[in-house]
Amino acid sequence: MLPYVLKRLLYAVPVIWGVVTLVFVLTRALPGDPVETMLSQSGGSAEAIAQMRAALALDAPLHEQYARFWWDLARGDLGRSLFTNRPVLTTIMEQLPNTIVLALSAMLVAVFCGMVLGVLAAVYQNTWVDTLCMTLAVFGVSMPVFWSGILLITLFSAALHWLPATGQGSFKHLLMPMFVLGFASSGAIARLIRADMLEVLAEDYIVTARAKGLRLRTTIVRHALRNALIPALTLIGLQFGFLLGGTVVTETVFSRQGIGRLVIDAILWKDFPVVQGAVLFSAIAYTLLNIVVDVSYVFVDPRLRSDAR
Amino acid sequence: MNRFRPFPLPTRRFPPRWTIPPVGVRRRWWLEKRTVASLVVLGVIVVSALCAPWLSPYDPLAMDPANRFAEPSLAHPCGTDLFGRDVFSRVLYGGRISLITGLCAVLLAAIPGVICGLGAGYFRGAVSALVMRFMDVLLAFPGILLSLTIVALLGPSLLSVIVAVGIAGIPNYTRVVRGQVLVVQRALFVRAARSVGAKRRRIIFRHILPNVLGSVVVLMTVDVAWAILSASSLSFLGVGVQPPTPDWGVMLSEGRGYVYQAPWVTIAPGAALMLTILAINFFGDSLRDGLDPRVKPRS
Repeated sequence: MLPYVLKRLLYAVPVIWGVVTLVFVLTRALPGDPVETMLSQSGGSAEAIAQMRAALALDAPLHEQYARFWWDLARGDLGRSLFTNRPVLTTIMEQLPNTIVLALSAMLVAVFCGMVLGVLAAVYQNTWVDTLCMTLAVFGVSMPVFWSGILLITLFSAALHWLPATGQGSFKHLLMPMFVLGFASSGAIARLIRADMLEVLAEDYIVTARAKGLRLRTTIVRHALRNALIPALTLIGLQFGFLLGGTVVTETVFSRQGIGRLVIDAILWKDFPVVQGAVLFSAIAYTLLNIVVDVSYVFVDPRLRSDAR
Repeated sequence: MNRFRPFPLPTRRFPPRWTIPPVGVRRRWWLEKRTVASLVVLGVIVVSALCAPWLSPYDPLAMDPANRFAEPSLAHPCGTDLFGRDVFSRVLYGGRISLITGLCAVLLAAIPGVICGLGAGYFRGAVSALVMRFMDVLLAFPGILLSLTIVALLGPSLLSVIVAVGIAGIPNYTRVVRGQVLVVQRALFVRAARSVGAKRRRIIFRHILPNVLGSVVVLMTVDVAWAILSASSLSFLGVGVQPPTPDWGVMLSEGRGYVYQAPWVTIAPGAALMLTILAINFFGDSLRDGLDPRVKPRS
């Protein structure tokens, strides 16, 4: 088991190196100087541009900048915000809990809705239940998060006054964002679970379970779903990336604090160290999360344990 | 008592007749209900976007402050927005931007993606490893974060949105094409071509490429929906297409502050966006199922 985890971690090393390098290349070597873009639009003089280039060490040779970039990163220094002058890492850490709460609760909604729709569609294959569930799944994939968010705000906040439209702090504030984001992600999960369930339902052990008189619910939950969920686990892991990205839009729609909102505000204010830090942080976190999913796969599926050794 | 008959048969063992179509009978998937319905909806959207100058009753940029937030009426079928602009005309023109962005971004993703996939599949070893690790790096950015970073650096414009969404879409094509190339290049006709001394370029582009194009076309179809959604998200967030350009994402962003007093400003562009994505997704599903011989025909 341990060698497998180490192997996965080792595999992530080039990816993380690549992510850091790509972010560096994007921000340094792209045609168009980020500092110039940043300051010229807000009417900065050539002198101010030169000063900021010197402050960010952008006038040094590229390889020196690259080495310095790594050195700072190794010390956990993602730079300072141009506007608040606070360390970027501190700002990210302050916003992180909000985003994690939103992403995790949306994930719960996604897995629950995806599982219910997928299982119903598979069990009642080729009936109207199947059609309804799969249509709902396609709707989930096709509804832009920002539009479903606006629709829910119109209905539950503007018309019915049941839920607060914006802000955060209570479960009521979380309800609409988590449902909007979770439903968008549930479509893909539902479709995969349906396909997996259809395969599992044709297995001999399911026929045996039914033949020996086991109840439908027991057969589905205990025998079929547990096996169908294993392939879905990878997708659920991948969907977490979608959810992390989706929080950018959701946090904007519902005016919530979080990493997504931080990135957008930083982009709009041209606060380039914050953009760079937050993107880097999210990408590395996502890569590590994928490793966790891969490793948990081994825990869930006993057949993989012998391979992993 | 169950009204349905849930999974009564182990279908793998005793396949019903429809799982193996009779020889010589081709499935006419393009005549299936969901294909026709999605094509009709898509057709209406494309035609109305193309003919926007003739179909729209007003100039999409013309402001009429006296008529701001007018409710939907015969004069303004979808009402007017904060500046008194006709929402219906703006939705029609918005379709042009969404469709152009979707198609261009997908082409921008598919062309380099397919070339990288062909290279990574055909030339094993260092080339393959290098290309695939680079794709892993691109995939390491969650959701629209990569597009967001690129568009932030290029500055907000239609072109940057297309480039940003296109680049983020490249890895999908590379992965799919590489997988297909690995299978196809083991086929007899490829080995035959190699044995008669055909050049690499000829083998790749004349023998392998045509055999992987089917999957690429399916992926491109579904990806248009994804590209339109991503581009609208960028515009909604304020980093993509900028106001006053009539774009669905921009319109939703402008209207969201007024859902209490004028919900119609957001309903029309949102519905248009969702219908477009829904129709493309349904068509993509039909195309995928239609080209997959294992899938049973639908009514």
